[in-house]
Amino acid sequence: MKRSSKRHYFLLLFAAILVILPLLLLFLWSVSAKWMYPAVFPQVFAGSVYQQMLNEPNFWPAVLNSLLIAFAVTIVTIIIALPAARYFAFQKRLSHRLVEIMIYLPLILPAIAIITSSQVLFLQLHLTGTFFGMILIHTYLCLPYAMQILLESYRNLGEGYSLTAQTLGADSWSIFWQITWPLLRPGITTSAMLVFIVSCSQYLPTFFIGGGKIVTLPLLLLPYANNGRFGLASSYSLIFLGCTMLGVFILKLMIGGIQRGTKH
Amino acid sequence: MNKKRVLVIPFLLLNGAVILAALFKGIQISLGYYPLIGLNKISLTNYQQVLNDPFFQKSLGYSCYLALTATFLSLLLGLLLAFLLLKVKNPWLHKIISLPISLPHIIVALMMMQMIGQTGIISRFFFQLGWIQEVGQFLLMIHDSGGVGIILVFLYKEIPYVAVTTLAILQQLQLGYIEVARNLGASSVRIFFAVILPMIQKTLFTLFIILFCFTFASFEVPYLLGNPSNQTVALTAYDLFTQADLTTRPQAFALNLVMSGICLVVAAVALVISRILPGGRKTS
Repeated sequence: MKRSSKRHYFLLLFAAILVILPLLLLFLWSVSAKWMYPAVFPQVFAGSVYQQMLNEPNFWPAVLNSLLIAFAVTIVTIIIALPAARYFAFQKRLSHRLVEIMIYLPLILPAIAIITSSQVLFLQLHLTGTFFGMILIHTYLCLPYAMQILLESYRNLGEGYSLTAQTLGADSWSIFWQITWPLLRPGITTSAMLVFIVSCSQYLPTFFIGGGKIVTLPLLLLPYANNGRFGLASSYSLIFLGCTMLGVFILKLMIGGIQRGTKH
Repeated sequence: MNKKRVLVIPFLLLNGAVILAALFKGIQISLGYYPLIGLNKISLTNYQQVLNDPFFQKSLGYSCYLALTATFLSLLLGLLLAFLLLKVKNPWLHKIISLPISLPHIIVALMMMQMIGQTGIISRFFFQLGWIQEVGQFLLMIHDSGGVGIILVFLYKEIPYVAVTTLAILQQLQLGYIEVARNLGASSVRIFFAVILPMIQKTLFTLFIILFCFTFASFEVPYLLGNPSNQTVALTAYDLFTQADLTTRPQAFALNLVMSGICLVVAAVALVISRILPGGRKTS
């Protein structure tokens, strides 16, 4: 028994190393100024790649756009998903499977098909190249993630608390703020963080709907990765990860401070 | 009750509007109604072209191969990883394992190039160890015709996703069902089919649908790591769309709809199979 649990531990450790190793490599590439082929370690360490990145005129607009769009998308998505998830969690007419399919439809239909068709439509409506159009298409693509987590949270929470409050005479607004919000906070935080990350990572919708006017970090990163410029691509990747971590941190603070109270 | 139903409207409106509008535009243009370039005759020629052209057939087949391979391997290895996570309760290892879920595909593709590309770190170690004498001798795994690099990127992202998603259900399994079955004399195989499978199959099929559809139509990964002669459908559609010549558009839209159709059919078949299997009809 003891030996097998030790084996399990080492297997998981091995899996964790497989996860970490490529990330370390990414970091090494971003701080190397020279790393020719057979060398296993960078020959010259320097921050010159970052310098080059900062000098790019599109760098700061891309960072700001990425953060701005992701924040807007997160807020809109949560506002739309919260009431919808509540309804789906407690209704008894539709089966769980049907609700699941409705929620996952944006993940089932190929994103490229929806995005390219929307582009034609958005062109007619003059929505390409606008933040409104971007937020709309991003929200559509992010909703399944938020709905999935919030639906699960609502189901775990149950209807009991809010029904009790209702019987005691509370109106629905105060039920939401006094009961649902504090109890659902972990679920809301998780879904907001995931939506933020998903929105940040989108390439295709930004490429097609942004119409070349709105530049985000993935849009700058992809060409460098494609041309084999590993140094620059790596530094962009790390900046990207930094931005998402910053956004996730701010969201955590916004949605209710560092998590306190009940811990399972 | 009515008031609560009003609250779903924004969700349905946004999803419905985007999907229906996109579908409507797609069908309209793919059938040959595209006044912008002077096309206004309704016909099915674009669909015939897409379905009969060997190039399109090849890219559809290639995308199916990639999606099926990546999805089945992710489900299998993800489930094994979930059992490991269940056994080993080290919070740090759990955090590290779930890290890839939040990494974008572009970055994972980049990391894969740095790892297993011909000039990647593994190739460099092989060179230093004297196992290869020049770059070209290292096995081609990026831009290869089998799509090894592409599949590995999806595995890196999806195995942890499957593991984390199934972990919650596997935890319910720990409530003693397996021990009871074993005490009653069930074999391991029997336990798997009579206890474990009915409990997890619904989640596995949902995961299969999501992963298959995503991999099938994904763009960034095959764009970065794919082989030029083996294109995936998303890349083909992308090429048709980004051409300055608008006359390829109707074909691109036909391809879009064929792709959507395949995803919907696969999803429907998976749902039907899941319903027939033990545990499929249980509501909850």
